[in-house]
Amino acid sequence: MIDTALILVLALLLLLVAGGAGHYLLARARIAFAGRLEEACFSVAAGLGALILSVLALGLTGLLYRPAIWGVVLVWLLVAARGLSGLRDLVRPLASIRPEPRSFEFWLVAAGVLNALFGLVRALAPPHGATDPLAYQLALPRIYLAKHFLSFEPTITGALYPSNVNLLYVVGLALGDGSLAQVIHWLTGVLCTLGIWALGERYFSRSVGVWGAVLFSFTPIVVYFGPQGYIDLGLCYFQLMAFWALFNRVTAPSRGGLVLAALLCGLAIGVKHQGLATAVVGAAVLGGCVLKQRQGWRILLRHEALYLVVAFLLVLPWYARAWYWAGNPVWPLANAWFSGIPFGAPPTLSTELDPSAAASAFWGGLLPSLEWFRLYADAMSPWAWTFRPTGMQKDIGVYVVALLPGLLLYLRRRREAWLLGFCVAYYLMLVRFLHMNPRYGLILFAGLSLLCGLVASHLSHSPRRLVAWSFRGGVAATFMLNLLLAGLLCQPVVPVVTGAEARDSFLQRSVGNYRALQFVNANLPATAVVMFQGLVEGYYCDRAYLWGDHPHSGLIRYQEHPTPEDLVRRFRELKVTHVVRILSMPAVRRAMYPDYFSDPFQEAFRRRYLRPLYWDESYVVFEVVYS
Amino acid sequence: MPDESAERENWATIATPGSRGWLRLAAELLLLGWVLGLFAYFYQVRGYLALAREVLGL
Repeated sequence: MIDTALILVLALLLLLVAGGAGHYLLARARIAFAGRLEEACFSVAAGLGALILSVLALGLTGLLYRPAIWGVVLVWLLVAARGLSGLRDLVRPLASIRPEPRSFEFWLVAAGVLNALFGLVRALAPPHGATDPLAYQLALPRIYLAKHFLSFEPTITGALYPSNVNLLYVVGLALGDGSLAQVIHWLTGVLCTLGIWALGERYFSRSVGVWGAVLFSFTPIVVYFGPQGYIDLGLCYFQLMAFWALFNRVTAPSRGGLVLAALLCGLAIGVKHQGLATAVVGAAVLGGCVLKQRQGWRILLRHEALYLVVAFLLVLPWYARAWYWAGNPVWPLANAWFSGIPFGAPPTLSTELDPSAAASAFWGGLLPSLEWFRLYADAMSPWAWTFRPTGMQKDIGVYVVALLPGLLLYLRRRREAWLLGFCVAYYLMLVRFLHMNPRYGLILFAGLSLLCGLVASHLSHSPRRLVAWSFRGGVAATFMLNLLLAGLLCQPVVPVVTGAEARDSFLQRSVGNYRALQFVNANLPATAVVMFQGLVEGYYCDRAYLWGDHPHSGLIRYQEHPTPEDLVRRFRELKVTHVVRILSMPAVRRAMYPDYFSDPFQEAFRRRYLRPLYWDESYVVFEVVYS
Repeated sequence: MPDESAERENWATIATPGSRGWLRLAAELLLLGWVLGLFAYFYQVRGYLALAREVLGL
């Protein structure tokens, strides 16, 4: 096991490489910044972008080998060494900061740091728990690294999505292990928080920045998902930097600033398709400002073209890859438009819009009906997300609904109104096109955190002491409760992170299919092809595997194979040699999968064609007996 | 971003003669009550308070 200290050292190394290299690149591009914290934030974003593009080049050319990835990191380290002196100048002011325990903001930051440390402890544990990272976000990078290129895994949802942050996970897996990948995601969350601080400080006040950053860091979605191998905070980070660069460009026009905004927009789109919202909102903001400044249509078109062309050039390799493998740049979305290779049940853009529908029906569906609002009122309501969230990914915490009404009292400057307008626009996009899922639109909560920070800052500095101290007391109580939860969340992983518990022992009790997959890795031939039945979490599987009967993949639809003989023929077509099957199907998944051991058809198939090799209380491994 | 110099007053400051106006004080107290009330309600209904009681053995 790669121990905790080494993971921390490697994470620090990557941060230094990104910061130093990015600083060097931005200095070469002669892009000016208003403050050192802002410059440091953009340096890290530019450096991470450079690292992502380098690994993308390796992945597309079949060079995803550990030594090659180390080589890329070392090359950027050499570049970073040239930028490190500048970076040192950027962080030097930090040394002159004297803690002021009498200031309430000091305690805010202290709470935020403690919260982040709890998150770091969770990130340092081996990947476990959540489904998505073990099924796609960490599983795909592990497959890429094993195959040494950005392979196409047609049964896995999202196999051809743009995957910029996943490429950072490839680096994490190559240099360390899954824990380093999780620490990278946690780090993007910390960088987001610092970005919100610096953005707030630049456009509003230091107090607003600090409040906004800390409130964002305590958002439950951020607390839950930040230390896991998701990519949503990575998307939020690149979106935040892209919008920040655009705001800077709009307030102080420069061609370099516009190109930087476009590059960061491209990096955000390249994280996942939800990042496309960055280009839509970014182009609207840019266009609105050019028109407001009466610069004319020609300038408008030139700026928009430069912004969008540069942004999409960065995503082009991902679209080209999807086109090459599946005949559809956004496969499996909009498959009907592009005639891509068939996919079981393609994800849709929204609960109502179907990209597979005819184009006219799709465009007609862009405008929601009143009935739509009535039907989904609860699903899109921030009040419901606060008090009755359906799952952790909708758990937005209390600060948004509690503090936003204060804007009626404190919203004064136009730029505050602009930020509110931005949030409203992004909220509408989230509920209409991003599945009403707050986890897909964390940038909205970054913006809302700044608005909440504005209200909190006013209340906290109210000239009426009763108001100020009552508010501070209330917030302090909420922070203590939040920290209690954060502490409890990290409690189960403390033994494995500190080395008191072995990694295997931890995984055996924390990952349901770990023992079955360890059996697969230890006993099945290297040429084995394993079909998953009733599960998708393949991160710990070293053999080739297929999402067998998952409705998304559509690889096996049992109704199309009415007899055991038909089904085994399909198994033979797919070259399946073994099956890993869940023993008892949870009730929530019974709409998706059969309950294998109580289903007469599945039982008939099992008796004739499956020979058990291993079983525990949750999973069974079978060999397929064709003869 | 628009020109920052173009600021505007909001309804609360227009409605009151000064920053110490009674209307503003009332509005601020109303906001404070809303914020603290929602904090209490949220941590109660979402189970944080029960969790804290359990951890502290109360």
